[in-house]
Amino acid sequence: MKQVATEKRILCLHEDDFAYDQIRQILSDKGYFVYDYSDANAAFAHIYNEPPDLMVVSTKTPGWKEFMTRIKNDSVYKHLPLILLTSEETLTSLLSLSDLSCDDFLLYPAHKKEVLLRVQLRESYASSNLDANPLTRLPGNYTIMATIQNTVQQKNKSALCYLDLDNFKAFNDRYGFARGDEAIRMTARIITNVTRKIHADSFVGHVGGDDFFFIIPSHLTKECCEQIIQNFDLVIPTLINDEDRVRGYIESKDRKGNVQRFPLLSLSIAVIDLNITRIDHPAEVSAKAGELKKAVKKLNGSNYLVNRRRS
Amino acid sequence: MKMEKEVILDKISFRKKVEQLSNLPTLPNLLDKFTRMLKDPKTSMAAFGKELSKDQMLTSKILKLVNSAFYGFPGRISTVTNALVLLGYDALKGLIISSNIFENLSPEAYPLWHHSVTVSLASRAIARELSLPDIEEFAVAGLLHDIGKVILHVEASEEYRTVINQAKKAKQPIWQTEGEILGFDHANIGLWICEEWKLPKKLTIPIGYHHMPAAPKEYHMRVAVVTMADILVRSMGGGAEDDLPLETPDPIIEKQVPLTLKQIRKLIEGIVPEFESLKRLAPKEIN
Repeated sequence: MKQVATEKRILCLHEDDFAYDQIRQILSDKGYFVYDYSDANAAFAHIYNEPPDLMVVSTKTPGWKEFMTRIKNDSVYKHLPLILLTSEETLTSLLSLSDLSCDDFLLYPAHKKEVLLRVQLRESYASSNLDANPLTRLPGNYTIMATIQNTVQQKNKSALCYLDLDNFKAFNDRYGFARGDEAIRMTARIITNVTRKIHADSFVGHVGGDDFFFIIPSHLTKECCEQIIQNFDLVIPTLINDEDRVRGYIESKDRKGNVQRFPLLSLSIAVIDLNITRIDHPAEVSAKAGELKKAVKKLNGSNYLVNRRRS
Repeated sequence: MKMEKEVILDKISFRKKVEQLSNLPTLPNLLDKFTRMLKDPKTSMAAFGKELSKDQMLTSKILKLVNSAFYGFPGRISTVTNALVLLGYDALKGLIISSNIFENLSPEAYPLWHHSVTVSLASRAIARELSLPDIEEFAVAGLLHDIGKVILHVEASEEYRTVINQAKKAKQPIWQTEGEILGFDHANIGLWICEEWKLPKKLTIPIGYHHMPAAPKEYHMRVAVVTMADILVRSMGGGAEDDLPLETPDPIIEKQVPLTLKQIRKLIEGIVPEFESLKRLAPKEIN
């Protein structure tokens, strides 16, 4: 039988032993569906094929550390909660758990009630990751503002980039919100993938709706923006119906209710390069971005504009 | 002694098995190449896309992942290039690292790989010749059209050997013998797995109906192109199982893919160099 989608799935990476058997029993008794792996590569394969709701990783398994680091460094999979199953000795030898990217830990031998509570607690945390955007799982406004503040204060040679979609309202009206959400998710994936590939430590946030924000080192602005635009223009046509793609425009109602022609979806990026313009206070950033956005929005298709030095 | 025809594979339980498959094995030499490419920081995504389009297993895994509910684009993405843009480098790395290789490599594995890659080339060439849009999607459908055979080789190798031997004895197309002995054929299996993996219909239908091109209600052109490419490659001696006869093409093929003899000659001439070089590549690296 196929598993019902609502059933919670837990992936366990462990060495076979008695202590583990007990934990497994406790979870299965409570209706969790447990997948067992003793090989980290096989566990990876499972996660990429069918992501579980939660992971339990035993420190007795070879390669457990690499497994955990890999999952927690992946922009898509890092939100999956991971509980470390460890012994007191291992714990003391580790010195500090804060260097590890697990979400919680459990000690052998496990107390029945504790196992359940930890698992349930993690589940509720995972579903209420407060600042993250539910659609894209990217950090939201609070984190974005804090990051801008940091960047401005540290006087890093960075470029602050505001990205949004053009004609998104018309797109949503024509195809519905579900497809609008797909466009947002695609945009989020494209920005994340491009920035991470070009500069591993880039920050990407989701302001809300079709507004995104990212930070990259100044000298990578051109490469990054051009690659984002190229990938966006490559993938977005998969969301446009054939007839509209052939015509090259979509028909939709404007704000007054009149049927109008709108260009296909494109994007605009306003870039505030801190190397060019001196910014002393974070509040100046959004004002400057607003002006720049107006200018870049006037151009046809997908574009980016960088602030100029005042002469 | 049983008098009734013996069922060697139960359709319902085999289908269930197929739907639960998560990891199809990759040929060892291809996996080595991908692993080498991963280690080289200079490898571009475009270069990866080009190499990946020669591997049915990774291509199907990548499409499965990007069309899964987890990423949120179900039934949307049908080319490797688009999938890579959305999945990113980390996920690709994970997929490659977690790949299995064909253990107990069956002797048919390389001819089947060679056949699939050349049908992919031929599908792209035909689509280009007919000035159709989205030719990459035709190439993907061509690459994956025989994914059902891969599954039979991996999941039911002994039973499938019986089928192949029987087809050779009876001198009839393999899919007919599959239908007679198993009660379903490799195209059915392709359809099952594509539907289970939520691949776009424009891929699912040509894969599932490449031996029954008149059966589906939509995407006739896509089915016809892949079927034509399959026939073309097999007529060049690039079948997955040697010397099985070609069936007479359904009339819908000629209607949908109205190629002149001159065009067919041009297509074959275009495919031959790669057809031959792929042939040389495979057996050398078997051992």
